[in-house]
Amino acid sequence: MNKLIKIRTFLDSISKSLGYISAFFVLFLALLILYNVISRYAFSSSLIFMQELEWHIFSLIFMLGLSYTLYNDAHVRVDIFYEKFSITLQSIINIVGVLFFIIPLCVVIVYTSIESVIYAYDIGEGSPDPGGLPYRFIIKSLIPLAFVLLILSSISFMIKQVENIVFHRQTKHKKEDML
Amino acid sequence: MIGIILFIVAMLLLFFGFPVAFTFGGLALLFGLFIDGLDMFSMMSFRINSIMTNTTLISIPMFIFMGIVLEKAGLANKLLVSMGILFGKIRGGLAISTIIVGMLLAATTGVVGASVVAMGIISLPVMLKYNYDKAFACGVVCTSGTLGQIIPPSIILIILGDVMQVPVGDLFKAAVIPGVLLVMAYISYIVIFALIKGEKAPAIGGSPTKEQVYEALKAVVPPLMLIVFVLGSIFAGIATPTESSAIGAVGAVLLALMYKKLSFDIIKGASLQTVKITAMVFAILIGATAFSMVFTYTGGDMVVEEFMTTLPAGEYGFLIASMIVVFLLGFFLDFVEICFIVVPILGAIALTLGVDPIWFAILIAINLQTSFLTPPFGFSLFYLKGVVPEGVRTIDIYKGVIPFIVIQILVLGIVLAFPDILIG
Repeated sequence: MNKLIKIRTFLDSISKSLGYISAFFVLFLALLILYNVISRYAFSSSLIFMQELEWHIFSLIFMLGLSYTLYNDAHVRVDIFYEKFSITLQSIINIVGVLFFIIPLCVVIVYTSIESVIYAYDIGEGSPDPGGLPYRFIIKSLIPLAFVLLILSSISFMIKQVENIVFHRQTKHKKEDML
Repeated sequence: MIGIILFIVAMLLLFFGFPVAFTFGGLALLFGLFIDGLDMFSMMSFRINSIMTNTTLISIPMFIFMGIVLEKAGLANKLLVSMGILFGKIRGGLAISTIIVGMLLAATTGVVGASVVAMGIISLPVMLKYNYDKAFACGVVCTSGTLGQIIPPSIILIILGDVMQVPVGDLFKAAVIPGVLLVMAYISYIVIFALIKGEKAPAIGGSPTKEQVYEALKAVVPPLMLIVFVLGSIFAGIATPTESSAIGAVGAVLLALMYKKLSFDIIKGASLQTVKITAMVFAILIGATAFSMVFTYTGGDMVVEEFMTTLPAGEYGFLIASMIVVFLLGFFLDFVEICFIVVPILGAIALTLGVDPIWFAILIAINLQTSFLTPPFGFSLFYLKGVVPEGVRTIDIYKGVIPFIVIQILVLGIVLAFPDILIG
């Protein structure tokens, strides 16, 4: 059990840092877009690569955020019955869900996306627009990367459920995370 | 038929409470693998790639960030206190001020849960203290909180715009009149209610002093200007919704600075919260993508289309049926799930039937808002239940929202009957 907790702490620290990286990019994105707007109007210049950087950053935020959100248990649930279930039952549901839904989904996405990363690398795919960002394979590799990280985060999530069952602990489910 | 079975099984599994995004995505995957192996999902990475490169969706984290910063800066509190003073001396004034603050919060923060909670903590006790009818006061709070769904810039409209393939700016514009119509209808109801049953919605205090009016203006004008700036730049075509959303995000930080609430903690907290909500939304989009691949691949969309197009009364038959479906699903599912999973199916049919996609999107937005208000499952009611003072029973909340649900349905009917008002 202690070993499991150590693994979980390690995996959680990855998810947490991903959250902080994404959070930093939220601010960065706001300033980047603002800069692009201002430069378009004030200096009537717009750089294609600066605009493409917007969606690059944006994808980083939500793709890396996937693990952080799972770490916080903030993926929205239909909780009419769930919140009335015992902790043990909740934890079992979560473990089954990870094993049958999250992990297979991640594996398939990783498997099918690696091919397109390799292809993008082989043909040296870049932006179709002149002056755009080169090396498309880097941003494309975000897809398999994000879902490998989500697998790691879901393993830690499962360990947490085991701990809940063993120690009869309550996971907090925060309402305010919903829109 | 397999698509329909998949949908039904997914709906049932949702009640176990596992996150919606993964239930839909994972189940679709298992179904797909079973039917046709991995081939069906070879496009998965292209679909995710097209989500990543979608520049309209960038506005979602920006507007979320703007909302959370303003919320953390205590905007709701400031607005409620000052508006309460301004409207206090007329009958039902506290209720009217709650609705107006609800509208302002809808346009600025747009976070339904947070708005309901803030008003439930601040306005509700004041209304009760001055002998407002419990049910009436609860109804007012719940209703004004849900305005965040329809009043632009709202996340739901951005998602609907993406799903229905219409410009988000047009959708924002189209939502203004129904939004104002709703607010006016609420206020008219409150005024009439207060006239007839004065003791249930009494006036409080005298006329506000000059300083109080000044204080109130100081609270209201800055956020109002921010919202006029953000929406105005979209409507005037000066900036895209994405650009405006970033301006709004930075503007919110400046506003927090003005309120002397800006701190590293607020920015850090708001950014982290933004990451969580954004990832939550996009996880559902990815799950819904997997779902729709299997659903369409197995011809589920054809089955639904066949059913929906053979309904009596043609276009209106389809619209009314879709409204009922969305309304019922709104009890269990959040708007994000409905917009990503159900609306694409209905939207495709709407296009086949020649229904104006903007009109259709607005109808869905009002409808979902109503659904959030309807007992026993409406989200807004749950939020309020969590914070009501002692002595307020759940049944009071349920009773209180009923007149407002009637108003919602009336406005929905008006928009359904006179689509031209949207263009206004």
